Amino acid sequence: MNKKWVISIVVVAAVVVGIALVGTMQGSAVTGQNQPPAIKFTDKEMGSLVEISPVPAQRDGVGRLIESLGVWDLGRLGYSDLSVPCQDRYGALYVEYVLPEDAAQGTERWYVLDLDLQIEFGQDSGEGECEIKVYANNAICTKFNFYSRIEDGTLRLYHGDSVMSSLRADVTHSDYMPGHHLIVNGVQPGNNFLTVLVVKYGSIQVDSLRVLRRSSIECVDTPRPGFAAEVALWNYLPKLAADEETRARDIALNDDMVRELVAGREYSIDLVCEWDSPEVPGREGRVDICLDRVYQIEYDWPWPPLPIREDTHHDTLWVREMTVVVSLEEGKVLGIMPERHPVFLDPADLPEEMRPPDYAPEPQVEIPTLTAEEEAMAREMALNDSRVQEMLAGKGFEVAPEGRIGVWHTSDGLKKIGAVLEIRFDKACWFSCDRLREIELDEENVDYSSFLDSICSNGGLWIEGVQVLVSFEKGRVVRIVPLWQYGGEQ
Amino acid sequence: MMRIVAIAVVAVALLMPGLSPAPAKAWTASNHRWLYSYYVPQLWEDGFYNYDHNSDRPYSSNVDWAVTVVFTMDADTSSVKYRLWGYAPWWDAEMWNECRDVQGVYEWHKDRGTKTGFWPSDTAMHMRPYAPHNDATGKDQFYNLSWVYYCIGTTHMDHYPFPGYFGYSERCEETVVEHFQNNGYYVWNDYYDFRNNEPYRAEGTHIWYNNSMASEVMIW
Repeated sequence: MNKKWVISIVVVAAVVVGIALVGTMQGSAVTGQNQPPAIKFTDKEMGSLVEISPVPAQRDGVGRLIESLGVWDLGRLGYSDLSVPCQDRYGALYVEYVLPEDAAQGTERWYVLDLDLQIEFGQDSGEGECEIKVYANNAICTKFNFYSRIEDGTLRLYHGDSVMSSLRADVTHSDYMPGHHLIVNGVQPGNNFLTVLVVKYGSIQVDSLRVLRRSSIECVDTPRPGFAAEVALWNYLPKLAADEETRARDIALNDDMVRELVAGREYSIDLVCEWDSPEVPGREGRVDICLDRVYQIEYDWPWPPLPIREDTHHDTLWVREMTVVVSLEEGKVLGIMPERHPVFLDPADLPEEMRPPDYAPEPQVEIPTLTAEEEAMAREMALNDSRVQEMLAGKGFEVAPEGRIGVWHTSDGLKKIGAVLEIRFDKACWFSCDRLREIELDEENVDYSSFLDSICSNGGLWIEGVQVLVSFEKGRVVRIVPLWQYGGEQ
Repeated sequence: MMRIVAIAVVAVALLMPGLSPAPAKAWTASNHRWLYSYYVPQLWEDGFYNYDHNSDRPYSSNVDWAVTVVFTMDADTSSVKYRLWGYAPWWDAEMWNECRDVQGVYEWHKDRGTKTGFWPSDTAMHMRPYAPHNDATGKDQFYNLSWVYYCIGTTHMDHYPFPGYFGYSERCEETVVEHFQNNGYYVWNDYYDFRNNEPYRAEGTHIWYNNSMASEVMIW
């Protein structure tokens, strides 16, 4: 075999191995991934969804681990000042950093982003907009908007709402807030990516965009001022009785789904209290389970809780904590929500002595309801009404589907007038306008005939059902509202 | 000439019953409350009322509709309207919601919203988005660590002829979610409990119907 052949074989083999390696890396999970996923955003001018793969910033050595509290600037992470490509309509550049295995935003540590950007616009800019979007992993994390306007023949540049004094702007997070805490998705164990994307609309020209070396991620053990919780909440959460608390805990921990989620993981229960949702009947408890660290969990998450939920929601999430909602009466888990965040308090929920002096609770209102007898009476009156009967004749229908029967009341004084109920056809039915005109739909308010004249160009309408209003005082149906199919005339 | 045409259009519109911007009536909520991270953990330091209001008086007897949807990631009130059905016409009333983005800073936002039909002919879907003004971006959008740039929205249907009925927030929410889902956005249907359950009832022509679970639409 001659030398040329050997070189060719080695080159081909290297290319094949290279392609295989790239394929493996792209298909790997987030941890260990060595390039960020493509950034997805909407081009507002084109009205289309765009995907762009950012280019890596030059770095000395491998990704650095942010292993301790303190300021980790780009220099410390192996980078110097960075230039984001901005010759084209879009340009994106990313930097990489590594976080410890237990990294999570706002549990024991907080990660604060402090970006220092320098942008320079072209003197020949026309009107337009420049968006600088910063992504932590693949989720938008912060952004800066610049606008160019020609006013009285002069180019004027705006940064947000402020007028710029020159073509150049120095932008730092500290201009806006004492600390820009990274978003939840921007803090995960292993490799993390911070991507800077520049998008230009209209005739704005960007000469350069630099991310300065002093830009940093700071790791702190307490959130920055302005972000601290007003009051520790836990003392004021609605309590369960001691036996209920034990029962809630047992129901949660004996549940198959919960057992599956905590299997092989250390965990603690950091909260048991009452859960109160108007949607869930009966008495419920809330059990918060805190895992020893953040795990990436792929699961069919049973959330929202029953009876709202119809299906589970399949997703792969970074999870440190889970809120488990249990029914104390039925002895079962109703839902599991991954991730819980620090809680801030509102004066309404504080003990009286801790509320501000000018706090005034909102006056309570009492909305009337129907008794079982009234509900039955309303159904009977509706179904015995000759006009309703005419509309239902020959059709399959359901009375009060999904509980759509309720009180009809006034707004002033909340006085009960009667009942409202819906009757829904099995499928949308065609009603000719002539037929609808013959039915007295509303004896008080609405003149349907002129309305029908204006919309009935096809001679009729598709109707999904009727909404019937029954007056208890008059003892009869006083209004029938045909429920036109959304989109009206077909 | 254009000015004369414009004046004529406005004059005709004002003379037409049902089209002039009359002061809107206020309604009464069953579960009016300030929402913040105790109720919805993803809110962090933010807050807003779970209904919009007829004016800047945050009382349960001064509401219009329930907040049923949250647009997250890179959303602002204007872009959400643009992506949905365009801007609602001027004769639709502005409604209000109070928003807290930065701790201790409260701001009332008012909006006419976005609507499927501009003419009162059949059934229109109507969504009003709310968020405080963000000086840094020049847009109306909340910011926090879970939903990033986001705004909230109330939904309802306008069923004509005037005064037909208005309402069914839940059904309009489903339509909004479906619209975004069909256009390539990620949605999470009925995901966050905004505590504004409204059992079916009629308050005059206002038909209440909402299941309290708000949906999330991720805007890219």
